Amino acid sequence: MKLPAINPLPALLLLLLGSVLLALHTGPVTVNWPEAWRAPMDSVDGLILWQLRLPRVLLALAVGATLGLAGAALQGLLRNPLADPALVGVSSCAALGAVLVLYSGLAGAAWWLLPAGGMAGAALAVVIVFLLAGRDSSVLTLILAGVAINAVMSSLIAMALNFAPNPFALSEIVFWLLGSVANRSFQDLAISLPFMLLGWAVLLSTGRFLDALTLGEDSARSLGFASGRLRWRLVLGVACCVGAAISVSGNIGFVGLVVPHLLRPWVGYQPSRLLLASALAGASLLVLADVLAQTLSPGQELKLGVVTALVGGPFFLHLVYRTRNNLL
Amino acid sequence: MRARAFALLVLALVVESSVAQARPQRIASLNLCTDQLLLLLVEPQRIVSLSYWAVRPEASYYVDRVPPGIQLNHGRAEEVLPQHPDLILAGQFTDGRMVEALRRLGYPIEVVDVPTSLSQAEAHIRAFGALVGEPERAAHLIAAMQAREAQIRARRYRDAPLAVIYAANGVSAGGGTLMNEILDVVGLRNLAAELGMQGYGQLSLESLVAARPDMLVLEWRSEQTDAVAQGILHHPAMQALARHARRVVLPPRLTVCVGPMVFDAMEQLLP
Repeated sequence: MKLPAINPLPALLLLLLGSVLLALHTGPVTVNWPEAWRAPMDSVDGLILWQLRLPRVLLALAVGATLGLAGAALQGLLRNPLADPALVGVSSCAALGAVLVLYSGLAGAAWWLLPAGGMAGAALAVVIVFLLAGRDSSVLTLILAGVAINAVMSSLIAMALNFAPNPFALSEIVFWLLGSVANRSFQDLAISLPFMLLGWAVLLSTGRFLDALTLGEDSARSLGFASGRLRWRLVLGVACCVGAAISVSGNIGFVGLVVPHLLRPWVGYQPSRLLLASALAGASLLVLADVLAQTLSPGQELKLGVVTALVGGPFFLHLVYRTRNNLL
Repeated sequence: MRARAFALLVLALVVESSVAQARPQRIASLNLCTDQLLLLLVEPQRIVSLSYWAVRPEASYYVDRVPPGIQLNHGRAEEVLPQHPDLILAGQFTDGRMVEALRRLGYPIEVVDVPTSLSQAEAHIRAFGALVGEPERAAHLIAAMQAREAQIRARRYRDAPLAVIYAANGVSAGGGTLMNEILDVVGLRNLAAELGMQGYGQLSLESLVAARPDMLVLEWRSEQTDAVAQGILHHPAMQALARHARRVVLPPRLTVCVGPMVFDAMEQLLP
């Protein structure tokens, strides 16, 4: 499929803006906007718009951008179309890190400990994936490594939550495995956003290296890239933003898989241009998924991961079908 | 004359032994609510096992009555069988397959319909008293509970303020629940019930903020504040709401089971 080389960024920005406005209009209560503008702190409408909906939408946006960007970066780094933070186990490992910090009671000691737990988990998983499936690995190795990591991490999460002195173990397991941004406040955004921004900056700075990597590791090196150091920079960037995102939203799958795939033809199959586009599209996708999570089943909201898997699962099957020759 | 006296003696012995038989001496309970009723109605020497919830202060109101050193079970029959119980008490939510298996094997297991509302309490306590051989104590307990309810009703709100029950994960209690009855006795309106909720369900923080309740009744487990489920109770919007509403925190031990402790919950809600 060859598409005219247009710049998709303006369109993606518009899409994101539209998604955010739609999400701010979504909820069980009809908000009186003029009233919410007039009295942002004192009125009920102001409270609902600024304290309930805005942090939720912004968090969905930031987490979606993180997952889209990290998916694009991992696919470029591993030169593998099925690399995605959730699929290869980075997200579930990050969730385990956050779970261990949160339920051991450490999270109260310092604001950065919760995202730090997520980042440590994510870093561990990226390193495992990288060691298992790093160089010239087949798609199959990567996916199988992901299946194994995900299985172990999910059961460790369930186990940690069962041991925690916590009567909500079941609902907490569902939160960490399927993710949600419901009822999150600016505080959750404040502790995670700095690390997400840092991770984004690191990943966006590696675009040219990813372009060179498409020619192969040796060519990249011969073009003057310090490939060892740059690879570690990518690993740390992914761990930083994915870990921080997952530690406040739980594990949300498929965003990092679907988004880069849909966008690749629009950026001329160029990894460097894919990065920013994937971040914007990932943000829109997750904001829209959150709108669906609230509207598909009012009363008892769906978890975000349910919606993304509903969209992403069939897409993943389609990808497996298309790449099955490489798998065998 | 002597023969008659002998016959009376025999009769008295028979009656006494049948009463003794009707009074189980080694009672095991697998359910927190039957635990608590047992501790209220039966001498501690006649209890051989309680559920492990009975010693947890967040869930059990009568922790200090639990006989020291008593075996604590986790709701599984195999734990209590070695104690040779002559009565095993299970709740209606105890694993039905286990109850059936024990019945087939001939063990004296009784499934008690643990009440979920105050209106069922009287009949339930009376039946429970008969089951454990303490009908008089059960009658006393019922009378004491009725007297307390009458006292509380006399002090109830006259202007029907709007209250909302809110717990971890945004769970609220609507119509047909014990919490709804508690609010009703005290003279409070229940927001969740007015929004059409039946039983327990999730109430969005948005609907809660929009309704501007006069009273927030929070179920708080202070020892587990780090769980994600609790996050909703720390949300800034809740704190903004609490500036204009009376906030009452009820520990779960007051409302998990139907019993005298629900009146303590009511006392805290009174004007």
